[in-house]
Amino acid sequence: MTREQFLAALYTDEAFRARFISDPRATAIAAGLSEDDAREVARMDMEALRLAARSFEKKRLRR
Amino acid sequence: MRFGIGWRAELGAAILSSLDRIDAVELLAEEHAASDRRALRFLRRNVPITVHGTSLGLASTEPVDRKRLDAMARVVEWTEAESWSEHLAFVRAGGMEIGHLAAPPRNDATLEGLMRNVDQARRVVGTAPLLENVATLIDPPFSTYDEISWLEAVSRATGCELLLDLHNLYANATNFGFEPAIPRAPVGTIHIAGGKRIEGARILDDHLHEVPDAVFAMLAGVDANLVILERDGRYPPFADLLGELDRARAAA
Repeated sequence: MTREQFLAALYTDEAFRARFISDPRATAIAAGLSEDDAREVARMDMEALRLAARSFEKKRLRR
Repeated sequence: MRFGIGWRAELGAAILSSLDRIDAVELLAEEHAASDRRALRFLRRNVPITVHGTSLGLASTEPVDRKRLDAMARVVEWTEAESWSEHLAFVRAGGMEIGHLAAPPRNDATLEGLMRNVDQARRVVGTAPLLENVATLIDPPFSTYDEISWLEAVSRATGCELLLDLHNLYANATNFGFEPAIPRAPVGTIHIAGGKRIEGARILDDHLHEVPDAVFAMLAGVDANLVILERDGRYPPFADLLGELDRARAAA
C-alpha cells in the first residue's frame, strides 16, 4: 500500500482499523509501509482516528 | 470586500428573496445536477456565482479523475461562475472512497501531485481553482510541513489563490495547539462557519452552528475579494444568517 492508501484503509475499513489500533507497527509493516513510516503511524492519536473514521462513515452514509 | 452565502436547497427561497443583502452565492458543484434549474437560472442572472467542489481530491499523489473534472468544467460553464474552488484534500486512494475530505500528508510528494492535478484542472476547466485549507481531527502522518507553511508552499508551487477557511484554521489550531496565523499568501475568498466541541476538547467543523467570535476576530486580519458563510443544516431563521453576514461586514 502507498501512504495514502494506508490512510484511506484506516478511515474506511473497520476491521483493518481495529487491527491497526491493536498492533499499529505490525499492521503497518504487513501493509507494506517502511520501518520509518510504520514507526510514524504508530504514534497516531488513536482516539482522533476513531473520531475521524466515525465522521467519514457518517458522510458516506449520507450519500 | 463582498459577502455571500453557500447555496443550499433548504435556504433557496430565502436566498432568492434576500439578494439585496447578498453579494455572491457559492454553489456546490456536486449538488448542481440535483438543484432546481429555474432557481439556478434566476441566480445566474441576478448574482455572481462561485462554484465549490468537494470530490476532486487534488491534494494527492494519485491523478485526479477526468470524469469529475469534466463535470466540474460543465458546472463552471453553465453557471458562468466568476471562480471555482476545491479543497486541499484527498478523497480516495487505491480505489477506496473515503467519503469526505481527508487531510493529506503535508510533504513534497503531495505537493508535486497537487501541482500535476492543478495543471490538469486548469487545462480542463479553463481557469485555476482557489485552494481551500481543510479541517481535520487527525494531524496527518508523513508530514514535513506545518499547516501554515504548507498553505504558503501550496500557494507558491501552484500559483493559485487560497480559499482560506477561517473556521478550519481555527479548528485545527485548537485541535493541535498552534497559533492560527494567517498564511503569507494571496487569499481570494474566505469561508466562515461554525462547528462544535467534541471529545478531548477538539472542534468538529460540522457547519451546523453559528460562527464563533474567534472566527469573526480573525476576519480583520485577512484581505480577500469575497467572504462566504457556510451553513449545512440545523438552519436558524434566515434573518440570523443575514445577521452573521452583517457581523462579518462589520468585522472585516
